Amino acid sequence: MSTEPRQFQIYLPGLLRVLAESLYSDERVAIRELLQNAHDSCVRRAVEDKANDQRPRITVSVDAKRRVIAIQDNGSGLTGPEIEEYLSTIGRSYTRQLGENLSFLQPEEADRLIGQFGLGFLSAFLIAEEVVLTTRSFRPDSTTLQWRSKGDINYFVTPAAEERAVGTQVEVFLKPTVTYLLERDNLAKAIRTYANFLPIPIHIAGDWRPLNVMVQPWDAEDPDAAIQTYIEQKYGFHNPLYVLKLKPHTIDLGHDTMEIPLGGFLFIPPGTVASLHEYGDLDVYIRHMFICEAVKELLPPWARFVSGVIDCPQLQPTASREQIQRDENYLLVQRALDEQLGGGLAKLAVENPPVWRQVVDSHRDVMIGWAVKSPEFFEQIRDIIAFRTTRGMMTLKDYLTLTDGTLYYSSRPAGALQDQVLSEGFGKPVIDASYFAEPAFLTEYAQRSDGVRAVALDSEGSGELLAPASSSDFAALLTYFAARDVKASVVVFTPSHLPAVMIYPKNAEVVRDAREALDNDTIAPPFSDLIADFLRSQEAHDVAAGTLHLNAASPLIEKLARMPAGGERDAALDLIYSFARLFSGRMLDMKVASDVYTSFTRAVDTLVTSHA
Amino acid sequence: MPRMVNLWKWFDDFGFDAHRKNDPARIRLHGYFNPGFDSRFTEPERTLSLFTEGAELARKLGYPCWELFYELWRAEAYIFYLQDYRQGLAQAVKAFTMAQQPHYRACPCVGRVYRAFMDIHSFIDMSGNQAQVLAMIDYMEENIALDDDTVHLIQRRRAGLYYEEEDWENARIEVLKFLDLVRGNAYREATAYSFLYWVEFRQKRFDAAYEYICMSEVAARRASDDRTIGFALLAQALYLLRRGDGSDAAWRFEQGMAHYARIAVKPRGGFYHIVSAYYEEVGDSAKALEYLERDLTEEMMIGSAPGIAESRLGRCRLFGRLGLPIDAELAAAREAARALKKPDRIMSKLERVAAGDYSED
Repeated sequence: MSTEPRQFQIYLPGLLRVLAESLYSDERVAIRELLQNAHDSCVRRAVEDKANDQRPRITVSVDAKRRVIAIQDNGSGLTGPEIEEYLSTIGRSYTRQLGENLSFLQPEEADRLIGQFGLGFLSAFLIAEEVVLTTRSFRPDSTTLQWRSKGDINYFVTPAAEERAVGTQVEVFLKPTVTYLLERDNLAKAIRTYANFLPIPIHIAGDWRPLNVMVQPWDAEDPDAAIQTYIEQKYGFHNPLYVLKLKPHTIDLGHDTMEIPLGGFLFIPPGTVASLHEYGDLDVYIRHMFICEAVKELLPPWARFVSGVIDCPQLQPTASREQIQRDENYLLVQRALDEQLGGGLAKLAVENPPVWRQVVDSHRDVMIGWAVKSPEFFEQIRDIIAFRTTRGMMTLKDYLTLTDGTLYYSSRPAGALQDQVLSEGFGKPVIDASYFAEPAFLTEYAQRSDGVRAVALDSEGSGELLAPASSSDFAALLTYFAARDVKASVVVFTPSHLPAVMIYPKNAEVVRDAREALDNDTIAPPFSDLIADFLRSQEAHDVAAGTLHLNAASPLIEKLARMPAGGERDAALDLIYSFARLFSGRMLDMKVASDVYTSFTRAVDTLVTSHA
Repeated sequence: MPRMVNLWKWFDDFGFDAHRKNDPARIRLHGYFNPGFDSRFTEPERTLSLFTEGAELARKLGYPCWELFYELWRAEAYIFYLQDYRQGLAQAVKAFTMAQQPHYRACPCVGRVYRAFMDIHSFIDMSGNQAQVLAMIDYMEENIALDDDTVHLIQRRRAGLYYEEEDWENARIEVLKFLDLVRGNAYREATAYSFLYWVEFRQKRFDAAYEYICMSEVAARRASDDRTIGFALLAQALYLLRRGDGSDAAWRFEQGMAHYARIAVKPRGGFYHIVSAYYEEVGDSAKALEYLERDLTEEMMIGSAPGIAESRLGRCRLFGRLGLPIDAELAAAREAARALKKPDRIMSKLERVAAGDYSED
């Protein structure tokens, strides 16, 4: 075996097919690539042909009968050798070479150039059966040449039938599947999508008004107004809560600093629906050319209430230019956005607290969810986020002044009234933490604060508010309930006017329904055995049954404990039991409701009769 | 054979219709699923919350099949993503009980509800519930309309039953059948290759195991499944380390751990055992012990009796190999084994440990 290096062989037809047909996911990018070539050609002429005084211009025309779209520019044009060397050599780009040449002496001009891969022209074959390019270079003594290809390995270059002005015209003979591009609206939409901000006017033939706005809103004379208009047109929001114009950003690398060229803006929409619609996405432009929309990873993960547009030449597109390369520059831009947004929000909080409060209120749920994952962001919002409590909305800082360092919360949807009354009786408001991220936020808050603890008042946690009590004085009441298969205990809690509460274990409803299904014999054997196993394990821990906790501190309960059994006492105990079941908010169905009505009626009847 | 159902067509049709009629309530009902599903590995709590909201909205709107659908996915969230088997069992029972009632019985997700019920019992104690799991599989195949995915996963459980009984040949045959069924689904292919890895690994056919885990990695990369990519890289690292290729092993180990760092779901036993074995191999016994300790803690939180017993068995063996006292751990392991429905197999392994045989299976 020879150790000499060997070269890969290229199978040109296969490679061409991949590049022309499989590199891109959206066929409209062909329009973008041709417009970008036209743009770069105009920039090149401005750099290399100083004598030229024509204003650059791109014209797009449609010949529906011939199924042709033509894109014409008055840029530099191409000479015969340039056609061979650049247009017909895959992967070689004059623009990239020119950009490299200009980068030291004329970096601003270099920055205006978009192309770099030498592949874009091939994308024309996404939509074309045949492409005919007619060009005349600005170089002295150039003649007009015509290049044509059907996207296979062959192309033809011939002198054009007639001389043209300096510039290039690309005629795309469309495939039958893409004739929708011949309709003006579709074509205009594709042009606006990709080239709205290109600084050279693009006209549809016959219309003197350029189709593209040419100026990015953040570079407009009145950027605030232009950005507002853009947000309204693109996103449909009339009043974003906050807009941050992005600026070039200096990053401290430790050993050095680096300038990240950053343009665009971020904004905070009027509101988010945490469960269904979060933001945190950006539309990305590179050198005024649209690359991709709704990129999620560039903004920090906590910024799901922010949206925006950026243009950053530091970002590198992939070869298809439909995505951005996740390279070192990408990470630096991420960091620049993180720092600039973080700084902007911190400044907003200090300089304009009412707006910051509005932002936090409008995006509260999303912020809570993501703050738990970001310590710095958590610190920024921890004392400004308001929580629903039994005494209205309040921040945790304000809440803690009422509870001596404990955050009492209920994670059950809407929280049972009983939990709330219990807690209020204890003199403490309860936080409604039914949104999934709220318990995590409260726990995090407690962990980060000295002397603060978080207590969940769900069915198990309600015990926090119940103190043990001697049952000896209440034995008669316990006997009464035991005789009715009601599990009861005696405890002490406030308020004392609350005689009893009913507390169920977490899975009580599941156990009840499974028991019913099993008893009805509707479950097939292999499953019924396992359901029975489940019920045995749960019922062994009394999971199905709730416990009626009688309040030893209640004057009513004390009085009832001293009364003789029967008549009025039993009627009152039935009423207390019924109310406790109703206000627990659990295990309620039609049968229970009917039982409650029956016992209620019987009890009231007994009481009324005894006083009659 | 009962008919097949196309669960996702039902799901899509509802969404299309809701959008076509611009019906915001139904759009919202349909809309809970995708964001919930997408965040299942990175934010499983959010997944559960979205499915809970979905079930509540379905109840309010009076769409029983959607209510059952989201209750089912709540069970899946507990079982697969939050890995809380106690609550997973309760939620699977809840969905299963609902599916017995007349207005839910014809819903297209009923087969999946049955499957979730079977899954949780497989995970809680595959060996102890072997007869019931087999009977459930037979019942479902004969009586319940199933969707594709459920058919595939039933096949996977069948393989699992053989694996649990250490019947390697039949386990391999059933996994290969599973692999045939899921061709084209990169996510499932990756799990099939990973399963084959274990079948070979447990027979100490390490070269074949390595080939399978490499194939698992390739498929997992196609599916962007960080957990399976991570596991594959760690398993490769252990193999390469034992083969003497320390630098490549270290690189893969680091990459594997990085993949796990991206996800929020608990890694489970295979991860801890492989990482512990790797550290033991490089001579870092403190780390080896730490990872088995973490494994035990996780299994206790999850509430998996076989997981606890297996974890304690692994700790006994490691303690023995490191020359540490094993009596207390052995007693705890025996107690954990006694909690199983069928403790014999693990008890006999513990007796081998007690007799001084500390080698892994």
